Amino acid sequence: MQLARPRAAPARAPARPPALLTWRALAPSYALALAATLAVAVFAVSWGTVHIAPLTTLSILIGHLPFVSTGEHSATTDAIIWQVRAPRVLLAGLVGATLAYSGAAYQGVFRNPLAEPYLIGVASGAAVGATLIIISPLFVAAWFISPLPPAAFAGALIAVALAYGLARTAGRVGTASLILSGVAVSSMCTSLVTYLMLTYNTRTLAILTWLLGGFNTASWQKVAISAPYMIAAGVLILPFARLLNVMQLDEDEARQLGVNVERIKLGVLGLASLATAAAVSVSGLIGFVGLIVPHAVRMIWGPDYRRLLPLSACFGASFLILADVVARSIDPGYEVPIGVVTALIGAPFFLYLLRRQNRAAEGRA
Amino acid sequence: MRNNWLGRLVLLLAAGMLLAAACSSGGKSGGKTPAFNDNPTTITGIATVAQYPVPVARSDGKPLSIAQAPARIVSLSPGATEIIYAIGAEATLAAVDKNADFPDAAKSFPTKVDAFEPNIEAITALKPDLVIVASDTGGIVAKLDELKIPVFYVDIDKSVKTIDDIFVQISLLGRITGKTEKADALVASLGERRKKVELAVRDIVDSSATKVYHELDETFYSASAGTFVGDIYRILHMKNIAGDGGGVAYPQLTQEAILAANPGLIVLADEGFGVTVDSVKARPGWSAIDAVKNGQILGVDPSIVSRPGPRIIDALEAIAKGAYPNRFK
Amino acid sequence: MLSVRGLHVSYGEHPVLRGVDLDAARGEVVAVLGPNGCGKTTLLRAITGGVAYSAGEIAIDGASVRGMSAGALAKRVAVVTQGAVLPEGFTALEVALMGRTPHLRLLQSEGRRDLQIVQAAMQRADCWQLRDRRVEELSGGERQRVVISRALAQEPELLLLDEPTSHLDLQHQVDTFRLLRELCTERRLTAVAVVHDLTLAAMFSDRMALLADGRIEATGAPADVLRAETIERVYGIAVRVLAHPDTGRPVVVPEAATAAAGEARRRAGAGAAP
Repeated sequence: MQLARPRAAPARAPARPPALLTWRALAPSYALALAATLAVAVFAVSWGTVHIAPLTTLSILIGHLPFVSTGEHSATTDAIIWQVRAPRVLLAGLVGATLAYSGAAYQGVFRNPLAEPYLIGVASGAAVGATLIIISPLFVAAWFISPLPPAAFAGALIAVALAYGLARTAGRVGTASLILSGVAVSSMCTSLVTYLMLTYNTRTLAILTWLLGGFNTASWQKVAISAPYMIAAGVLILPFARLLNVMQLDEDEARQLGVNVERIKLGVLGLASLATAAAVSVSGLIGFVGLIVPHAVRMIWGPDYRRLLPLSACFGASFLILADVVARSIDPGYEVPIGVVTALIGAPFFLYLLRRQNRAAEGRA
Repeated sequence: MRNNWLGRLVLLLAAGMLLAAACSSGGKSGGKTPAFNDNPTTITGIATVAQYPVPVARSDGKPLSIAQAPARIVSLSPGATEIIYAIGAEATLAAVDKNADFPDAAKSFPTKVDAFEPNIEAITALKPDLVIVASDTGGIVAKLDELKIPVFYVDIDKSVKTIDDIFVQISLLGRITGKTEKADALVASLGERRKKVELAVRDIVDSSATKVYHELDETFYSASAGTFVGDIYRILHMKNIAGDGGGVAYPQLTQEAILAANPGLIVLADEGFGVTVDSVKARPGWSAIDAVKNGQILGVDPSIVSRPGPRIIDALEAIAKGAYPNRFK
Repeated sequence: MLSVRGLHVSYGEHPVLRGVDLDAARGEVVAVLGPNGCGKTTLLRAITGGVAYSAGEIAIDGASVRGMSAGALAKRVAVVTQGAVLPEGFTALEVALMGRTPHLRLLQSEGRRDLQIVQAAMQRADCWQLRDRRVEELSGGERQRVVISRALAQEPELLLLDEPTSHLDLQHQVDTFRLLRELCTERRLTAVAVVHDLTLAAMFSDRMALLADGRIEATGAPADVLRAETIERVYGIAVRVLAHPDTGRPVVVPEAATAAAGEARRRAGAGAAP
């Protein structure tokens, strides 16, 4: 570069202007991702131990829409499709989407690639809530709405609020402090759960089953009580995407660009924690999704949160739906714990992406 | 950077195959005869005089020899506790496990130990001359061996897989405690009751066998055919929809499989935990099941059906009467 | 345009700035100098609201900074720090576009006008050709230019720079300050830059402020501030101040390396200093 005044941009034929990530520009990708996820979901509903033809599946599903009738089906087939598989697939999709976009949000706020939605106490708090119900006489009574999800939900929110409150000094919450207080709260909760599990050892299997997580007991009721949180939070987080990009700079620099860093942290973490609490309360503690899916999406589609958030949601939904298909079909008739499946499918895939990225980096270097 | 869909699909299928291979090759349960059956004690009721030393085979294969009638038994097995009371040997008990609840005397037994997280010091302090262990949690068996305390280790999942195995346990405990007469009498009377049930259902053929779903908890855990619970259904000529459990004694079934199997009878062993006949009927989609349509849902006290003790015959009778009321007037 | 009066800042019990006054008029480049730990960075942070001050007034065009929201402030003040952290995976253009943040509402995305502004800024900072490169692949000098263009994209009236060139080679140092000088002149931008290199600062700044131990030791034109005895008092090192042959601006060089040689020189060249 010379010491003289830099010359004006050379007069060439105008190059293609760089693409801007406006909402309109992104809309086609959103639509495509959503369509792909929907296709995965429909496939999943038609797949299972019991062989049901895809056309029959679609016919039954459409038949349940209001004002539509598609003829008679056997009660068993209808029950399997509509009461067992459909809510199961839908719940798996919602939970997968939630864990994934929450994971992306957490990684954005903490600027830490190891962040995931269970970091500041959602999982362990939910475990405390669920355990307290399982060991109490409340668990014995048969209720219309099981008290388990609301208790787990409450436990999760209390734990996060505790972690947040402990980390807050002079109106600011440093991310490092938040991680530390989150770890402290999580440890306390986990010890409590372990202690209760061993003391009330007639309920140990019930507690462990809940912790391990899964969609075997999915029902439309569970979808109804959790979906509003998961969907609303997802929609409300999206507008923060551009600001999350800016927050990747450094908190001080973001502040100097006029970003209200504390408010964004509170808002994004609050929404993500709320959604994750709802997810965990109806499906237990399914690991791996919240950590890995955002990374995979980032590797393929880049770090911009305007793509990362919605694509993580769609990818996470598809991933967990497929994992659930494996969990319920790989050993026909028997249920394999979904945490095992997510690890076995996700880990090799992640290694493959990592190697691909390393090879690309080597090529560049 | 376009994503490689084919590569992802291949990896998914590969992982799936790996998983299937792993699951299906996992230890399948062996044949019907229990491995632990080389004890020469007869179970036909011929009284024998207590003979010491009594050689006993443990589930881990290590030998055990009881030199004389024990005077201070610590029982970490609710099943063994019930048997000991049933054969009148309760005077030898020094402590029972926390979950013992039958008979009442066991429930209110003054000294209790935790069977789930056994505290070796607490057990040693009781100066036992025999410890009965039903599942080796926390390596308690090895620790007791180190301290040279005799351990009667019978792993329920491995060694008590049929009702006959339970009878063997009763006889064994009879020989160990010197109460052979009462033990043999108990086995005889239980055997009689079983025979009665067998006779009443002997004409049921496979083709008309009722399909049964035995529920252990509301997340659809069940008991496979290779368990003493499964033995009940074998005796009753019923088809257990849990099958061989995929190699697992107590597998978790998928809801879809239950609906597809369409059992004619549902037995609830989890009634104590918020599950009722009505709550089962209310489960979405279950109204399509024959058992629900015909009201063939039975609740059974978990402490008699989930415990390998003398009351397993009570469970057998209750289920038999509930399923075939006409045969048991 | 910028007016700082009686600024007191303490970190806990420890006072860092003890009553600092500073002025910067439109179109001026003001260099802030001083030894390490004297409070230069703290001064800049106080202006942007990054650190609280116990007493004093900071005003931009008469409006007190205290009352301004972060967003309003960001539309008028831009900051360039040294060695800024640039997130991996983003291109230079995407990072520069972040400078438009104060001008965009929550749901709003960058539009064509924003792109034009950023393009102009990047061309001015000579990094437009880097626009599609990922920031982790850029050299130190290139990154600094991207950061500067991001600051320019904010369309600020006041530019604060905290040692913007300390880690760059000589060419880039000179280029950066030349750019600063030109921008201030042509756009009536005000720049307050914390600088270590006394000579470079003297070459490009209109006025200087020498900070020592939390107080202003001297302000004024470079020639007035950079006097040998002042520098010796503040920095604790003996220097010679010469005049640039073309511009006449002060050039500061340390006295000879060893004490003995220094003595000799002083005895030999007494009276030759300006």
